[in-house]
Amino acid sequence: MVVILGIDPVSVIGGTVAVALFGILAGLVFMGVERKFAAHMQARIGPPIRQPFRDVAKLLSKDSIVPENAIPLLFNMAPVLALASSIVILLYIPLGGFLPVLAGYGDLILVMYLLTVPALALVAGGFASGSPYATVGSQREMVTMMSYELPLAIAVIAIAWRLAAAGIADPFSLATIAGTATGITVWSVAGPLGIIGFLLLLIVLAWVTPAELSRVPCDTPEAETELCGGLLVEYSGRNLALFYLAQGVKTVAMAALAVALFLPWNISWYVALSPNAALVADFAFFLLKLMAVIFFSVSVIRVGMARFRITHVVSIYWGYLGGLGLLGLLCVVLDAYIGGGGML
Amino acid sequence: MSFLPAIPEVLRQFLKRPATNIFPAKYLPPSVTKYLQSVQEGKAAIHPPVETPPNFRGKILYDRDTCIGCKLCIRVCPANAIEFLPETKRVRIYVTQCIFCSQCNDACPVDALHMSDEFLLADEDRYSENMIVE
Repeated sequence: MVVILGIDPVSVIGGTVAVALFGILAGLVFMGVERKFAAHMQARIGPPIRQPFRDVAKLLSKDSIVPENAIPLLFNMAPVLALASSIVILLYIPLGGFLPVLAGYGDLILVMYLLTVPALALVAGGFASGSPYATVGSQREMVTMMSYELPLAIAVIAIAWRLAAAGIADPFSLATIAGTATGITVWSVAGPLGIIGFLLLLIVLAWVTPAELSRVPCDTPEAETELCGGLLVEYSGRNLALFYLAQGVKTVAMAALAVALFLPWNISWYVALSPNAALVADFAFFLLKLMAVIFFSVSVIRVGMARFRITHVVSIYWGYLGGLGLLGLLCVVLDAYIGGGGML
Repeated sequence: MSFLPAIPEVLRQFLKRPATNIFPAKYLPPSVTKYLQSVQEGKAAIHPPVETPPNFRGKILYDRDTCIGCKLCIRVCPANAIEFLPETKRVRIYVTQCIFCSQCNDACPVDALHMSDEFLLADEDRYSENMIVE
């Protein structure tokens, strides 16, 4: 086995290809399922689940038009960057019973930074389109990014801090948080007050997800009724297909992050299974959890609400959700002091 | 004002049957003509359309024997869809031209014109037998 700089290239490359394929396929399937959910919530039947595959196939067969005012290099690079960075996020997140491909090379803080990269690629693409609609969309996307960063950071910090307070080593590692190897999670560490705090943070994270994914009610950057598609207004053909795939992969990544942070349970912790059967069962259960996260924090919110104005996005995410997150963090901190975390 | 009132409603609707009538099939078939062929061969079945409401204005019905050739329908027709045939003193109605306003029905002194329930009137030829009522 060849090892370069502590990495075994064969397994990393193989794992990356597998995760990329999984991300793209699962992204498209979940987008189809999500559209089905939304349709049934609106008392419609909706498109067949394979519709996103057809959409992508159609877009890939079309010409990519680069507008006259655009900067072609940036304009064409942004979709590739968005898809690539979305896949990179998945490399750091545990998928069911599988440890992250790059476990040990990056932790939750890195994932938080990486989550902004697809959005930044969208912003760059929007500014490079040379369209006033896309420019306004890009500005709004940046404002949205700044808005959801605080509640997301609070939720992440609270979990890592509680694990650290309980004396668990390496609390920012996603493998530790998901308890893939140990079976120890924040829910088993926290006392009653801490559980209330984490439930509040779970609500906060459920509302951060649509902002992260630019779905209704936070689709202000796209705003098809006011900005005709905003960021994506000039994109067509292959480039739009890449953004579409990136959106799917990002949905999976965000849901997988939510699962790793707050819903980390695996079937194999409770039922004795042979190692291979455990992997399959855990992975199937993981997909089920992803679907549940997408149902509640994408579909229900998307169908049940109208779009926020961009000023509302800021006040809701900084004010209300930030406040709710701080309240949750306070509960968690008090819980650690009362319940006697190992280190305090 | 209640907080997020649509969300319970959305969850309730998720558990109900969709209101959509799946006519003619649940999803668009890859080829409509092939689908219609297989329906004619009896291999597939068309889901029935929604029932037409009372007083529905579909394809026009013409009773030749009652008609007295008074031309009143031609005078009221806003779409010029009705033609007079002098040799038989009867009318001919072009369905592709008709706007289904039903004014000729109201104007007819002998009640020779009626609106049917038939509304699936797509055709490739605007002068086909199905598109002309005499």
